[in-house]
This record gives sequence, structure tokens and C-alpha cells, in this order.
Amino acid sequence: MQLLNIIRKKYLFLLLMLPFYLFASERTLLEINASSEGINKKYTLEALLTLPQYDVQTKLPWTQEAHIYSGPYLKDVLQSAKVEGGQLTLEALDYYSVSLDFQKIAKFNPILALKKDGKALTIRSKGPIWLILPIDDYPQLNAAIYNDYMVWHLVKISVAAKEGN
Amino acid sequence: MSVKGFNKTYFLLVIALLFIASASSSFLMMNKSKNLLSWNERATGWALVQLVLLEQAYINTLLEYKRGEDVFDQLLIDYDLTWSAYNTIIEGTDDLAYVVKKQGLQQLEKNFKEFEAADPLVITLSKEQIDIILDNTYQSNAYAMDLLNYEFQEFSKQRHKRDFTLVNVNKITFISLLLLCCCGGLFLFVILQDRRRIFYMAYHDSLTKLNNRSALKEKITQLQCNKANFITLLIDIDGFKSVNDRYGHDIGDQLLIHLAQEMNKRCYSPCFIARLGGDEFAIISFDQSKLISFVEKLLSITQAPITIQQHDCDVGLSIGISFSNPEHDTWVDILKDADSAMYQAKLKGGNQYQIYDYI
Repeated sequence: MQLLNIIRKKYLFLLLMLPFYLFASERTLLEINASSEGINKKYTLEALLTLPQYDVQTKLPWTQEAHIYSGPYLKDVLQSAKVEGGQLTLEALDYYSVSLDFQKIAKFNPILALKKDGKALTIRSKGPIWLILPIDDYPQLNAAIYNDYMVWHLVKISVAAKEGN
Repeated sequence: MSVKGFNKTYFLLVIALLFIASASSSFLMMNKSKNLLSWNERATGWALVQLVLLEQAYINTLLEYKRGEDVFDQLLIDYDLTWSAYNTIIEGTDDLAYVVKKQGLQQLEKNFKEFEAADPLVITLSKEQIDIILDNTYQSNAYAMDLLNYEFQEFSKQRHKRDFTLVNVNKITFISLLLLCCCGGLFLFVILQDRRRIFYMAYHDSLTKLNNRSALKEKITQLQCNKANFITLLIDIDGFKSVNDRYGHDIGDQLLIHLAQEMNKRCYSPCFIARLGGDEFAIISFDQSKLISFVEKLLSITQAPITIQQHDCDVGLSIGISFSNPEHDTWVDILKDADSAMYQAKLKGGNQYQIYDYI
């Protein structure tokens, strides 16, 4: 009886969520905001997947082993939103937020990972977007400050104008 | 090796060992300091804060859902976020085991299993079930809070310990660097002192302490370059060989020292006096008007026999004089003229002077 209840509940849920899943790719995953330049661009998964995708294979402090993360370069995403990377504030779904100067990490080509080992990232696997720095390629990235920049559950990037502008 | 030289060698050896020891110590301490400063601060504290906050957000949404509000989507998101926060701690940061006590981790894993079993996508969220989930989540949230306190206390302890070590490391580094500077300074002092001594030896005669041939060469060359007018006196000691043969070289050496001192006494200030070697001396003089009186003063040195260690040394001075001349190309040319004049003086019986005749 209990099992039947569970199955019924699951089907009901799937039925309810079907339109959501069907149009999942149209759901906004990321918002880029540069209020000083009047830019507020929203990205769906599809939009992010149209940008060139890159793989980064690395072990992270929060994983037991190395994985392949794939997604567009952060600089490509910023360029597509027509913002120049200045002072970025990265905000996550879990209320975490961090501010950083994009130039500090630009040379490491950080990616906005959408997939891990070919599978789309979910909230449970720290998605839907996870900013990944190639730690294994650059040993200097193995420092607390860079760990703070690898925001998971990333949903919003606010760009402040560069100093002096 | 003299006692002084022996002591100096030991002293330098000790300084060298101290230098190496303090350099190694400075390097090691600086490396240790660098390692301590680049200590990777642990993200686990933040992960625990996240877990507490997200679990509380999940509890709030669950309460709203229980009241019948339409928050099922938000509930799923909050559940997944809490699930992810649990996963972060359990799968861990690199230093997780180091931060969270082992039994703490086991309890967290137990709580996570309970939490996983209450997946809103899998179970039916009846009111009774929600109450059970709420009860469990309150308990696990309280436990996460306890763990958070423990974590920050431990973190604080380790930080203090690290700071204390850093202060000590800095003290040792400071002392090592000070010692390194002292040893380096001493080395520099010894090297400069040796250099000064070598420089002195290169331009001075070790017996009479007068300038030597090299110094004379430089002096004359410099004067010739400046086109200065000067007079060169070449002095040879008459009868010196017989003193050497008769009384021995030590008396001969004493006689040379005595004559050098006497000649030096009679030189007026801009004079330059040098020993060319053997029993030959040279004096550069600039005042032509006082030349004859000066030469006579020099000849007066050997007017009476000189007594060295109760031995009467009957010697004389033969002085050849030449004037600087534009025809002299090198320093040797002017000396040749003086030498020629000195030879003339010797031929005339010695203990007199002769000016080189340019005609």
C-alpha cells in the first residue's frame, strides 16, 4: 500500500513537473548584471551551451578524485553579455557570495562548468553552474583564496565598473 | 705558520662555520615561515555554516508547506541545497578529518542517511511524516550547530598555535640574519684588510718600508703624462758589498734601513723616495733651487762611518741627477740618464753627486 502510494505520488509529481522539464532549457540559469552599463542579461542552459565548450580535468578540494568539468569560459560568457570583466560579485543559490577582481583569475581561464564527467550538473552535484579553476594545471591555485572563488550553485554575476572608469 | 696566522686561520674557520650555520638556519626558518603563512585555511567551517543555514531554510520551507502554502518547488530546491551541503562535508575537503572529530563525522553521516531517507520526491509528505522529518531535522541541525562551535574553537586553537610558532620562527630568523650580517661583515673586514695589506706590499719595499720599483715606475709615468718638471736622483751606496761580505747580510740589511731612514728624514715634503733594489735608491724632487743643498744634506749622511751593532760601516753615496726632458719617452729613459750620471760620480771616486750633462 505504502509502495503504491509512493509510485502514485512519483507519477503525479512527474506529471506536474513535465512542462517544467520540457522547457527546462528555457529556464534562466544565470543572470549577468552590470547596472552601471545598463546590462541585465539572462542565460538559459541552451544559451550557455551555444558558446564554445571547454573541458577542465582537475581534482578539487571537495572531491576525492579528479573529474572532467565542461562548460564555456567565464570570459566568453562575459564577452557575450558585452561586459568587460572588472570587479565581479558571484552569487549562489545557497546565499554564498564572493567579490573578486576578474583579472586575478582571467589568466587561468576559469570555466562555468555545466557538466561533470559528461553529466549535467544538478543542485546535488553543486550545479547547475560551478565556477571551476584548473587547480591541477596551476599549483598556485591551491590556496584558500582561490577556493573561495570556485562558487557552486552559481546563479548571478554582478559586474561593477573598473576603478577609474 | 706564525701563532698570529694560526689564530687567524682558526678565527676565519669559526666565522665561516657560523656563516654557513646562520645562512642555513635563515633559509630553513624562512621556508618554515613561508609554509606556515601559506597554510591553506579550511573551508570546512564555512561548509558547516552553510549546512546549518540551509537546513534552517529547509525547515522553514517545510513548515510553510505544512501550513499548506504552495512552496513544493522551493522545498525541493532547499532539500537539494541541504543535501549538497551535507555531501560537501562528508565527501570532504582535503583536511576534513583534521577538522571534524571522527565520531562527529560518523554522527553527521548518520544524520545524512536519515535526511536522504526523507527525500520529498520519494516519500509521501503526510502531516505525520512532516512532523517526523521536522523533528529529525531540528535534531540534526542542533548537532551541526554543536559541531560548528567545536570546529571554530579548534580552528581558533590551531590559529593561536600557528601564530605562536610564527613568532618564534621570526625570532630565530631575525637572530640568524643578524648573525649572518655579522659574519658577512667580518668576512668583508678581513678581505678589505688583506686587500689593503696586499696593495701596500705591492708598492712598498718590505725591508726599508720605502716605495718600491713599481711605485717609482707609476710615479714617474704619471709625472711624464702630466708633463711635470721634476728631478730624479739615483743613489748607489759605495762599499756596500764589502759591508755585506765583512759583517754579514743582517748588518747590511740594518745599514740599508738606517740609510733609508736618514734619507727620508732629509727629504722635504713633495719628495718621493724609493728603493729600486739591492743598494740602489731613487728620489724624485721638484724644487730645483734647493737641489744642491738637498744633495749635500744627503751626502752628509755618510760623512762619518755609520755604526751598526758596534760595527763601523764606512760607506759613501754616489748620486746621479737627471732632469725631466720631453725627449724621455718612458720612465726608464730618465733613470738611464740618472744612472749614467751616477756612474760618472762613482768613476770620480764616489761619495759625490753628478748632474747628467745633456749637451
